Amino acid sequence: MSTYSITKTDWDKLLVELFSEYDLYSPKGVEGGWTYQLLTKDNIAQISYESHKYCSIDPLKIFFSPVKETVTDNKEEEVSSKSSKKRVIVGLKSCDLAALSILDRVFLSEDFIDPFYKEKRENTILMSSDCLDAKESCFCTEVGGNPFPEKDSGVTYDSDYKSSIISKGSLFQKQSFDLNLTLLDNEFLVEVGSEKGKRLIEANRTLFSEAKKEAVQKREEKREGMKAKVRERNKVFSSKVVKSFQDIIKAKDDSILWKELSEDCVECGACTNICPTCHCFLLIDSAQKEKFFKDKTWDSCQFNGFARMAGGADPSDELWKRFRNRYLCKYSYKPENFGFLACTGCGRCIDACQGKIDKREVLNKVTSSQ
Amino acid sequence: MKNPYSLTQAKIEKIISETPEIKTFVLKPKESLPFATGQFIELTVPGVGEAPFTPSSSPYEVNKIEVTIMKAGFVTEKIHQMGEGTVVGIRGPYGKGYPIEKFYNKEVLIVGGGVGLAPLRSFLLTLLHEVDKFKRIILCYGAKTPEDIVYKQSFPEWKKLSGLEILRSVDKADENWKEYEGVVTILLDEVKVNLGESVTIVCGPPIMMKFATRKLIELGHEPKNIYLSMERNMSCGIGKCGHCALGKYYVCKDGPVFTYEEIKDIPEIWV
Ligand SMILES: Cc1cc2nc3c(=O)[nH]c(=O)nc-3n(C[C@H](O)[C@H](O)[C@H](O)COP(=O)(O)OP(=O)(O)OC[C@H]3O[C@@H](n4cnc5c(N)ncnc54)[C@H](O)[C@@H]3O)c2cc1C
Ligand code: SF4
Ligand code: SF4
Ligand code: FES
Repeated sequence: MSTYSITKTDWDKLLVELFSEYDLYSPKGVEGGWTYQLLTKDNIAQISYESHKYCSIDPLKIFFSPVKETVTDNKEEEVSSKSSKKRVIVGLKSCDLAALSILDRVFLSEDFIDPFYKEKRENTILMSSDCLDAKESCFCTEVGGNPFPEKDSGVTYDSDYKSSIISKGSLFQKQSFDLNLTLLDNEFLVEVGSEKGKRLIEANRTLFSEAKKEAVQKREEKREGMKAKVRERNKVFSSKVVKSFQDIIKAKDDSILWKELSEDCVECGACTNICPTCHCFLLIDSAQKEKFFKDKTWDSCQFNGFARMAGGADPSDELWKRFRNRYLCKYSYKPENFGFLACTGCGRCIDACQGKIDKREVLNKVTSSQ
Repeated sequence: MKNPYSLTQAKIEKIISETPEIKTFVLKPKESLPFATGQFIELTVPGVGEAPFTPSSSPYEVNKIEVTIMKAGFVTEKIHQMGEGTVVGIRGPYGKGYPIEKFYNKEVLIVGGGVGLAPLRSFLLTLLHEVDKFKRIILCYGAKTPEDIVYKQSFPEWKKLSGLEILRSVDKADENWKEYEGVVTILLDEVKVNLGESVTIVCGPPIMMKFATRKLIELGHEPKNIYLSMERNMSCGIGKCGHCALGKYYVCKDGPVFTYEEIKDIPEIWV
């Protein structure tokens, strides 16, 4: 689909237009980064595209699979997914989009569609933007991604980036945005990624002009620069590590190594809570007066008892097994089941870890332990 | 769109006390819940909690569902306290059933331990429904003591059926016990099946499944012909919550029945 140009002032106008129909969210500065905030008409102009350089602290999943959500009140007349107000989210990043493809595969799989997730997904317009900088913990480029969204990319990577398990091309997740923004001086380049995005532009066509060749050229240069930056940061840790991890982890069951690697883990569950692709939850039953509820509540495979069965048998009874599970799930099980990794390289789990565990180092150690 | 978390109300019509720890509940759902044998349901005690159970009745009986439940913890304790007439919530059916057609013209060896006979009873009733399609049906069942045997009323009837051979053992016999004494695996030495033409269906406590599988392999059964009912912690039942992971599989979605071939390399399969 096409690429357009729009001035910063006109873009703000467009967003103001959207207020009648949508709730608008955008990352806003807080200590240590950005978190998503509901915008008001007055602070539209204050969205700082320049300062919001990389992904927010909170993962995008909070919009689609909230921390706690009532999924049934056990009554005959069912609370179906209550229709929520339509939303626009501005300023999410490439890795945020990538994470959605994992959640989509889980919650929208044809056998059982989660109507709560589906409704929120359909009611949300995603306006992503290119990264202008990267955190120390960013490693999207090493899992096959890029610091800028590409429509249905599934980026093909180094030609040797092929696993014995996955034969068809890249391990990277598919991305789908409605619109993507690239900030260039005083204007935005806007790439259309979906029908929803196309309709939005068409309805406000006068605000947009066709993108100039030079502008697109400039965007490509910027993108290449950012990509090089992220790759440079991850010199010690490369895509090869992720690739070989899959084969190595299958070949051996090294409890001594994993015990060592998990030594600093304090089992707080921060890594799974903050991870944009972690989807595990627990259904909790409760009663209030005459009513009964089932709440879908975030859970973590890192917690003791997560897999405990009646009678006490527990396949992940030890910390190292639970710790290892997070790596197996993201770099081995999900790729086998879905055809792509369940890690987008967003680095959130590295920043959130109370034990200061850098997962790139863990992957490095596992693959070099051969 | 159908909400997969919502419940169908089901009334407990009848309760059959099987053993001191196990009861069978005959449920009458408000809307019928057709299932294939081997699939499971989630049963909710309103406001209290939910747990997965495999129907023990025949899938050909459409108006009621029987579940045989062992008292094992919080939710099952609560279920055992309920009386006839109580209304519970059920949802399902979930998971994959037994691939019955694959067993046509074969010798079908069923190996059960304790409350593990619950899904196997449903399976057995399904086979008996078209008994001519199978070369042989053999049921090996083991319980701790004669008192711990479930479906005590059904066995005399089953023993009369011509297409069905039954062998039973108890770990600890009493003076009236005239059948085998010892763990259920000793029965496997007694039955002689045609290895190339048979399948074995196993369900029971993990320790029993482990030793039964080991024994079957020793006897020359092929891993692809051994069908195991795997138990894991479950919450959603629909492949989303992550609780039931078994290697790359989710037991609720990819199972609960797996061939040993599919899962033999996964660490911790027997816990
Ligand atoms: C597919 C399938 C079919 C089954 N079919 C049958 C059947 O036909 N008949 C039968 O009798 N059983 C069956 N079971 C087993 C049955 O589901 C369990 O016995 C039942 O779930 C036990 O629930 P409970 O609440 O009574 O036990 P509990 O031990 O109280 O609870 C187990 C659950 O509670 C949680 N829990 C409890 N205590 C703790 C703790 N200290 N820390 C953390 N978590 C805790 C666990 O997460 C677990 O989910 C089946 C299981 C599966 C998976
Ligand atoms: S991981 Fe990549 S896409 Fe995500 S914020 Fe960092 S640089 Fe941007
Ligand atoms: S595992 Fe860590 S780096 Fe990978 S997607 Fe999750 S939070 Fe981001
Ligand atoms: S029980 Fe939730 S994924 Fe299997």
